[in-house]
Amino acid sequence: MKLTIKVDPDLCIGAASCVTIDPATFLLNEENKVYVLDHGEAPGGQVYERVIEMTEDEKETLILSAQSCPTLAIFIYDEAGEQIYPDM
Amino acid sequence: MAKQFVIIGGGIAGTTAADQIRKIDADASITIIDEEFHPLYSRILLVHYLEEKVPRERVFMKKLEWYTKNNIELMSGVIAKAIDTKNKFVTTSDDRELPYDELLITTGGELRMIEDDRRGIAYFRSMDDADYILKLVNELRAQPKKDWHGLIYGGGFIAIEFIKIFDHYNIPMTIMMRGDGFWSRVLSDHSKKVLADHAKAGGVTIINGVKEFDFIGEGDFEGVVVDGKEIKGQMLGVGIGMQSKAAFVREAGIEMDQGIVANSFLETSTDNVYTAGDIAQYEDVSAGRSMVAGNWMKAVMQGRVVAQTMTGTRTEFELVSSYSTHLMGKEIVFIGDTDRSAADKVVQHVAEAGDSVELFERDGRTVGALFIGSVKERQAITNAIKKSEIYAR
Ligand SMILES: Cc1cc2nc3c(=O)[nH]c(=O)nc-3n(C[C@H](O)[C@H](O)[C@H](O)COP(=O)(O)OP(=O)(O)OC[C@H]3O[C@@H](n4cnc5c(N)ncnc54)[C@H](O)[C@@H]3O)c2cc1C
Ligand code: SF4
Repeated sequence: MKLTIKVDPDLCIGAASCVTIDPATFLLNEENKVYVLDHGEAPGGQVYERVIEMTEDEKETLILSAQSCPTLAIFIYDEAGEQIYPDM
Repeated sequence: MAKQFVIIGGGIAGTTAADQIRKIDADASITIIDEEFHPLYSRILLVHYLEEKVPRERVFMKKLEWYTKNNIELMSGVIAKAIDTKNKFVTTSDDRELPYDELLITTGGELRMIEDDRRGIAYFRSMDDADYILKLVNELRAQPKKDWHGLIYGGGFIAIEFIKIFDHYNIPMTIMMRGDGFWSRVLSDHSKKVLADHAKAGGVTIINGVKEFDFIGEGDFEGVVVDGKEIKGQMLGVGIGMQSKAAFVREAGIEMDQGIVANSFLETSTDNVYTAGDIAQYEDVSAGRSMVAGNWMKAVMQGRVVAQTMTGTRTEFELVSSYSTHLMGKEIVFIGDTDRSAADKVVQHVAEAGDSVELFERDGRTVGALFIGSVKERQAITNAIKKSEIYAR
């Protein structure tokens, strides 16, 4: 499935829980904000939003990492553009 | 019969554990006892709410429906008063006796308080505290602008949160510190200077070495008297640290030191009793010693790991955790074990005018680091700590 992953840099405080849980998708930049990776790679540079092809297992890890974010700075949307996290 | 899991403390550690236990065991009975009257929220977002960056409802991480949907009983506004570890039940403030098979204690830290409790003195730990701070800030802002003045007592994380709030509303402020700078027992002189210079440039007045002070008047807060000098102000934010008393845990015979003592599997000295989050004093594998650490990331990860152990898959906790904040835009990051008294050596790795990086070393390895300003080497240093290496300077 294709998921859109977005980080709000204004909310991200560099707590890095997301990086710990899902290092293939998140990495900290020099401003102490995370940017989004595609399976460990950053084609096109450090961006805060990416569409990524993911397996069900990878999606699970991604959601766990988003859930661990203390500022709810990570947003995940499905192919139809529906927000799947934060869902509350 | 379905296993009974009881969790005391519905913060991020307890709630994460409940969520994980439910994922592992669909039939388990799971109860969370929590003193506060709210479902899970992010303490870290509270300041964003006060800075008007997010609306109040965005601070909540779970709605009440989440608990129902996952069949997790949330006892809000209820305090766990006693634990009978022999007959395995918890007594609550509403006089219920909850039997457990497995008990998790995630009660977090408790605030250190000053003796006086007059109106206008604020602490900052909970949603209710945040609402109260907002009320006081609004009252302050209703005064003529020339009189606005916010006071802060303390020099750690919570004091910094108060600086953010006053700064956001352009309220002139004075911070009274007990020591000789921010985190006086953790930071090097250089780090302290970088922070103090930055705060002063931002218009903050700093008074060091304030071990005690008096209040002006007898009624609501009007200001303080330090060394015979009056400092008027409309509110006082107090952030003088946390402690882990949890008297009811000690009384139950569960071993406590600076927190609830646990091994690296988060098992306490008592059978079927576990701990996680800020209250835990756990055997830290990467630091190689028993320690307490109050940060969100560690609370989340311990909640996940302890759920594994409690459901029968004994799992060791291993993480190099970190805490990030900022002082008026200057990044501050603590990684791993930054207890100065427990380090063999602390190296001032970077000492620039606006930047400071310190490396904490023990037994020939890097165990912790702190950054003020530039965080360029954060990932590389974290990796070295994880691999039990010495960071190549
Ligand atoms: C204002 C503020 C800002 C912060 N900023 C950051 C930050 O930027 N980065 C970071 O990493 N960390 C930050 N922290 C720390 C972080 O919030 C904590 O590390 C984290 O919340 C710990 O989670 P916990 O579940 O262990 O404990 P807590 O979140 O403290 O939850 C414990 C719960 O247990 C309840 N409880 C206690 N005793 C009892 C009892 N006897 N019976 C029933 N319930 C009880 C309490 O009411 C509370 O709800 C901040 C904390 C505060 C207060
Ligand atoms: S967990 Fe959230 S705040 Fe922390 S680095 Fe990731 S996105 Fe940023």
